[in-house]
Amino acid sequence: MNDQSSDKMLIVNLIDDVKLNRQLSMILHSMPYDVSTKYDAVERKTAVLVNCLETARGIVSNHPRGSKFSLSVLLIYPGSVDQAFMEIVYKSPLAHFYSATEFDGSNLMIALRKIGNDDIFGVDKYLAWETSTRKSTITNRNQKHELITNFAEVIKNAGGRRNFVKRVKAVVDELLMNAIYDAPAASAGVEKVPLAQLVYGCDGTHFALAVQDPFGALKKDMVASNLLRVFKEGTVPRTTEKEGAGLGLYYVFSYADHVVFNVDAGSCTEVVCLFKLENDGPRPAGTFVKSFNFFFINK
Amino acid sequence: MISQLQLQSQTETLKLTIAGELTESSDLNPPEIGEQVTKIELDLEGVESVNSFGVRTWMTFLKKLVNLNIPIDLVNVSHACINQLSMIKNFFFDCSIKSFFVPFYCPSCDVEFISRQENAHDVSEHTTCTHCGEEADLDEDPGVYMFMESRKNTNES
Repeated sequence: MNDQSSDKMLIVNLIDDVKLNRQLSMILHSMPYDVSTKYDAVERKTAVLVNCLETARGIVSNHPRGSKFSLSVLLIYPGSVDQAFMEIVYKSPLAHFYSATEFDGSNLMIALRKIGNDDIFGVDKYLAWETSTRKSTITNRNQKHELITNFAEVIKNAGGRRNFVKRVKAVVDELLMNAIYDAPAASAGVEKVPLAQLVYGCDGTHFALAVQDPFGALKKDMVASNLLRVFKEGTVPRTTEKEGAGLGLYYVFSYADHVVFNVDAGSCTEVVCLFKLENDGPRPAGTFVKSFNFFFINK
Repeated sequence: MISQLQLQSQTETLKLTIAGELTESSDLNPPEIGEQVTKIELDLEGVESVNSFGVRTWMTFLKKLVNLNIPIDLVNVSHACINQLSMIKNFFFDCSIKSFFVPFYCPSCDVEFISRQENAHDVSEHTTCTHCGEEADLDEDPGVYMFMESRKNTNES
């Protein structure tokens, strides 16, 4: 077991589904955690399953300050990314969020392990064992265009159809733009090299890519408020000079099947996007991401 | 290629073309427009892609043209632009789309091709493959063309 593992985990499961609770319990036992529906302060590795945000708030506030036992909290939400969920993400003090239209045990296990082991980064976690990945790095803004062009060429040459290439290229474009324009700005102009890194791989079922920046400036509130603006006002680009158009994340969520944000405050932001290879044809208008995860640590 | 705006001719009809990728590096500014101009024709065949920042650049540019109150015809609108309609309903404001490109995919010979159309109503979910002659499938959500048609009807009424 990892020495850095979380001692107590609180799972707020907003899905009223006996099967899912059983699945969660089995995954947690295998990690291994004691699984309970009540929190106690006893010093042992425990995962507490609750189904109400208020109960979770109570547990979090009663967790002893300065306790040598850490408490990680994950919210599980039924559905993809809608206004109600983004309101919760925006207002909630929790650190980790998991939403999905369909629950996939292996994906849930990845999420729980990431939190349990305090090891949230890496696109490889979402690819089959020993899948090799490629990496490209940019050290200044002028290299963005070349990186995207080369990346698209590789995917096209690998057999990607026009629609698929368009989607993955657009996602990389938006994520790099966030990494090289928004992240440094949010970090108050701190200069770091490399500016951004793209890692991608394919395991035959999924194509996965991750864009990482060394700023760790992204906050859940930024993601939520950005999407809430689009949900409330529609897809109208922002016109303020100093900001972007405010549609980048909306594009990412429209093109990818699964989006994961991993943030270590002040150190690293990584956005992982998964694309099902079978979905390489035209995408119906209004299609939105099937699953969204946000993991946040502040070491 | 970063997008380029070119003035093709300026008589009664002002002809402009935009080509390349519409991104944060794009700089689109309408040219000085003579008093004789009664129509603007904007050729978008060469637009390869549009990112979120490019959407803003494009819509700011088009809004300036729209504000001139001169009829605007969009011709040879590339699939990259048409595809934006699935996300940005107001991407073309109320400009009329005179012609556009539709993508098809042939599952028999695994070839992708585009076909020029002038009426969204005529876009079919299948066509004959230009490569092998078998049936090829529309490679875009048909809803985009239905939206184009409803938009056209609204503009005409």
